[in-house]
Amino acid sequence: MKAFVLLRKDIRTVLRNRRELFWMIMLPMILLGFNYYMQGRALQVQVALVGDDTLKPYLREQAKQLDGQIELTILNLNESEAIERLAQGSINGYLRLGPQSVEMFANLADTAGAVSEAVFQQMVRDLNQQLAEKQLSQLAENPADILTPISWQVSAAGKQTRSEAQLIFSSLFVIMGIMTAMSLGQQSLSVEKDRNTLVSLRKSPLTDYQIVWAKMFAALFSSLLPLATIVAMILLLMPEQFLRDPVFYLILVSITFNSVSLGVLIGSYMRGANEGNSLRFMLTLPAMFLASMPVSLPVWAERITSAVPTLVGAQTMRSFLMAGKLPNPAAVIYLLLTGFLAIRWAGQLLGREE
Amino acid sequence: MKAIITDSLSKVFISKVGSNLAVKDLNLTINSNTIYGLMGHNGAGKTTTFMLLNALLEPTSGTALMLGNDLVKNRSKIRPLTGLLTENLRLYSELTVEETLDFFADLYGVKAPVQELLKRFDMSEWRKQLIGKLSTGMRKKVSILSACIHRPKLLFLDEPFSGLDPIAMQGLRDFVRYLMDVTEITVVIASHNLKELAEICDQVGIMKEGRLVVSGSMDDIKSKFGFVDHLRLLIDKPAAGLGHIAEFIEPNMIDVINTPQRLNMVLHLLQEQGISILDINKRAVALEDIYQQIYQEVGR
Repeated sequence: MKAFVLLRKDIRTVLRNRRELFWMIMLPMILLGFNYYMQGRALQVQVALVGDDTLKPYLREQAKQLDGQIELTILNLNESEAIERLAQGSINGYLRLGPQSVEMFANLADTAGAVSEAVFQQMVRDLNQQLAEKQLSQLAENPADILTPISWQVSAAGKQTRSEAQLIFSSLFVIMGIMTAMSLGQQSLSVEKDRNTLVSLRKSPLTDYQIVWAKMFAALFSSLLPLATIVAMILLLMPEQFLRDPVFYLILVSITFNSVSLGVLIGSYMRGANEGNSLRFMLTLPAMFLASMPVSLPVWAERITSAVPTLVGAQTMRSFLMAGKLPNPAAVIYLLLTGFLAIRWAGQLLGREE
Repeated sequence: MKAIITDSLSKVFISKVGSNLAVKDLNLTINSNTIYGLMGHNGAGKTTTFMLLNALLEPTSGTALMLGNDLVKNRSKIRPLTGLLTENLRLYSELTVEETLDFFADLYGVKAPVQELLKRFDMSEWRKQLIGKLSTGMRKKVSILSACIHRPKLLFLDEPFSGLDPIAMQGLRDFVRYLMDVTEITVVIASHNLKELAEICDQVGIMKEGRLVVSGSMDDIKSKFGFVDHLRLLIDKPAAGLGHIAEFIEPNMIDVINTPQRLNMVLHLLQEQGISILDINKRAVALEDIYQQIYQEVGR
């Protein structure tokens, strides 16, 4: 219970530190604003139409009526050109139009691809509605002339194609999860050192392990603030499928716990705040870089990322967001285990004699 | 009763660059309910001694009894019995005075009469004030209160006078004396401010290069090292026959060593000659002088 007293005090001091709080909330908002801007650009959707020409005028006309949030450009290509350009990522999808069916090929991992799929699905639905109404009016006059509704199919194409938006999300969450969390973990102890209050804590009935665990939980709680802000804003602005996936939160919590623990370890080892910053940056910057890497890594780099906890976290988040890969259980266990070990080590280092 | 008895207490720090003997063969005895002043240059071993006596460091060798508890065997028992104010303690600027004291009381699991304490120390009106907005003197008061909120039997104050103006220093002295009056507490103060130590301490000790070179009451130390206080007497007319027991600074001013024997002799001779004393000025040996001389002489 005495550790809870320290935990409560730490959370209270973080919540009262207006400058820190401002940046904890503002930084995700700034990054999200940037992301939103990038998303806005991605919503300039380019879709190719191939096949039967009879539906093309209708689709073009409907596309013109879309409000300004989506700039839909419709291109006339043959199918082989469309396949090639979709693979290159220069179009977001293409529609193969048949007399009674529309098949869509789009990169559904890409926001623009997913949006175009939704737009055209709605258009085909509207068309079918119109056909149904026409059928009803024509049925009495000429029962033989029944129009058949157009069927709609979607085929996800090029799922592995690089998605700009997902890259930004990936790096954004890693920035929040790793950088802020590690900073808060480190600060929680180094500020006590700078203020000379750590001796007072160590003199109290608290054990060194209780101190570092209390620090870890307080920093973890504080780290959830910016993360919650960013999740709430994304949900509000642009509902993303991954936010509803519990696996996403499992990865996020694992990364955050690991980062806070490493931060506490740095804070415990270093004499003050300034000394720990360079070490923290050494661990976080490569993780941020890795999270926003658009290409696959060479084997040697993959090996390195599988050893450094922060890079394991970044790589796991990147794989999940970009390729929809479920995290390797070993990676999550590794993050949790290294987090626990970091706290244990921090407890030992706290009482070291200099 | 003895509050602290150390027996050849030593502490060696070992690092990559070598070993550093921070405290060597410390033999210190401090009586209960007294104020003890510890002096010494920077790096003399005062802070390490405080850390050792608060069971925050493990001694390399030697033993100590803290209020009857073995320092090595009963570390967890000793910690709640002591209070420690570290040098440059800045506390938590985001907490109020009241919250800070509550925090330390909760940490020790004690129900402290925080409101009563604040009232007693004229700090009630500051209770909702953030620590970061307090003056240095007020912050020092809160620091000391937080160090003794759990009612320790032994209070260690490391450089409590640093950064304080003369009025705040006076306030701090009164504060410590008040603590002595209302609680059974032994206070150990490490400071470079020898004037303040001389004012407040019952006993003093001087540390040099990790060793305690002198310890005792001011009078004991003075007599041990031959320091004497002097009295300067202003008389209404020149006196005769005093040359062997006093020194004439001016024809009407004599300087006499402040011992009962000498003083009686001088007074007797002045009375015989019908000389009146107009003024008496005591010239006590300053702790600074004692400190400097002992520091230069001992352990060379």
